[in-house]
Parts: sequence; C-alpha cells; structure tokens
Amino acid sequence: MKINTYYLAFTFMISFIHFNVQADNIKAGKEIYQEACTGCHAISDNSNITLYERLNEKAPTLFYAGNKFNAPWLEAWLGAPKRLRPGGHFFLDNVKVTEDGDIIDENKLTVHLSVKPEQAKFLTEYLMAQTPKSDLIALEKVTFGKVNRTFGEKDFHKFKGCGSCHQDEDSYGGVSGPELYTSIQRLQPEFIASYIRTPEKWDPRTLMPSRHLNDNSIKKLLNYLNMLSE
Amino acid sequence: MKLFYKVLLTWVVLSGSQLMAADIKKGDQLYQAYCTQCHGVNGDGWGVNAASMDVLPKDHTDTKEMISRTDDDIFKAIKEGGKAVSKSNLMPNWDKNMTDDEIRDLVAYVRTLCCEKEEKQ
Repeated sequence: MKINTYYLAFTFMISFIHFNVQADNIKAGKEIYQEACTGCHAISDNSNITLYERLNEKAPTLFYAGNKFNAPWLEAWLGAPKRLRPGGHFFLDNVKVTEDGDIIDENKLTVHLSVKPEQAKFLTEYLMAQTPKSDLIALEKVTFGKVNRTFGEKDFHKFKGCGSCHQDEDSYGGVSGPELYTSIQRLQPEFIASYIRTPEKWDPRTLMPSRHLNDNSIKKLLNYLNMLSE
Repeated sequence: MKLFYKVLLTWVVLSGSQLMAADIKKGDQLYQAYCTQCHGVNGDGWGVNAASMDVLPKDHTDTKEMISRTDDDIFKAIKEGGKAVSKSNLMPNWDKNMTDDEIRDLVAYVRTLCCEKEEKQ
C-alpha cells in the first residue's frame, strides 16, 4: 500500500515537471514566434478574412498549425527549410508574363529563414499547441491502402484536376499550390482529407476549390499521396 | 400578346440592371485570385499552370469563341465547373469560393477581356 502511494506521488511529480517543462517550451516558442515570424505569418483567427487580406498575406496562416503539421517534420524543416510552394505563397506576386506564357520569376521568390535546433524545438511546441480546428480533424478517419501508380497519377491529374495546381513529383504539375510529393511527411493525413473535403472551413478565402469529393475519392487521393512518400 | 411584351420588357430591364449592378473592379480582383493561375494574367489561357495541363485553359481574349457563350454559360462554368457545360473537368467548380454575386462580378470582368474590342468597333 505504501509502495503504491510512493509510486503515485512519483508519477504525479514527473507529470507535473513534464507539464511545466512543456509550458516553458511553449512560452519560449511563442517569444521566438513573436520576434521572428509575425512579420510574415499570422496566427490569429482567420474566420473573417477578406479576399484583399488573403491576397496580401506574405505567408500561410499558422492559426491551426497544430492541426496541420506533423511535429517531427516541422521541427526538422524549421532548421533547414526547403521551398514547398513553387510559385510562392501567392503565385501572382511572382509571375512574369512572357511571349511563351506566364512563368514564375525565380528572382522574386524569397527564402524562408532557418532557426537553430533548440529554437526549432520550442517553435514547434508552440505551433503544435495551436489546435482550433480539432473538431474538423475528429471527423476524418484515415487508413492507408494500396494504390496502382498509373491509376493514382491519372486520378490526381486528369480525373480530379489536382495536378493543375499541385506537383506530385519535383517539377511536374502546377506551380500555384504547394507541392504534394512530400505532403504525407509534413501534414497530418486527417488534415489533408479535411482540406480536400472542405477547404473553405479551414480558410474562408482559400484559393483551393472544393470539388465535392466523396469518402472513397478522398481515400484514393490519400493512398496516392502516401505512395509518393514511400 | 400584350402580356408577352410586358414580360419581355420586364426581363430586359431586369437583365440590364443585373449587368449594371455587377462590379467589374471586384470581378478583376476575383479574376486575379482564382483565374490567372490557369487562364493567365492577360486572360490568354497561358497561366503559370497551363504548361503542365492536358487541356489548355480557355483563352478569354478570343472574342469569336467567347461571344458564342452567354453570361449564363460562363456563370455556370465558374460555379459548377467545366463539366457542367460539357467542357474540361480541369476547370473546377468555384461554388464554395465565391458567392453568386461575386461570380456575376467575375462574369462582367471576363466580358471586358473578350468583348471590349467588339463593343468599341
């Protein structure tokens, strides 16, 4: 009986310390965010954003970062960021009109700043604590299955039209949206499913259309994205 | 017969007022946001995404092609997608991104791209 009491007290103490350390890390992450990130990223509620405000954003909202990213990927990426959007956050800011059609002017694209490993850890803890859309995530249940590569590719490009804006391999596909060949590493599968289903519930002024896909169609797309990451 | 003319006149007046009510400036902003990525900054169908698409986006500056489409056709294509007007599925439905009024503004702007030349002649 006495052993159990000690055990409980010990467990409680460890949990308390863990909770305090986590709270301290989140606080440290918030300070880094305020110092380094607010110039480009917003983190406040975007429910009433206007189209003008959306088009003038310098970088994606982090309002629901904790519902969106995979923490290990986020921490690693913050230390060594790579371009995710071939055309930048809003492609039109970087377009050059040429005789051969519109192209992205690479000279206009900016490089995301990188942070030290400890800062990346704190930032990640702070960002992963931003979870205002957990109710949308809870509606999704994702289990991966097999997919035929040829069919998956056709589905992505021809049937669903995703490839018009998104790349499913380096330099192949549209450039106005984020690339999707690393999407499974960086994004929570439930977020991807929910964003495909109802993008406007995440970003009221999203530039992505809702194609009214059913569960089976969304599952096929997720299986394809999962296959790309393997 | 009198009734027919009355109905026709009402329809013409309503259609005219609807067109006048459309805000081309707002339509321009919507075009920049949603359409230029495929249809191009100048509306010529050569947007930044066009190079990798199986079906080339419509050239909105092609007067001959565009005058064969009614405002309702264009409205439907934007709201319900290309498939709804027997065109490419790659043109998505924008019904969750824009209200009907906004789509009407966009239609009015598209008309300035395709048909201003014609009107000026």
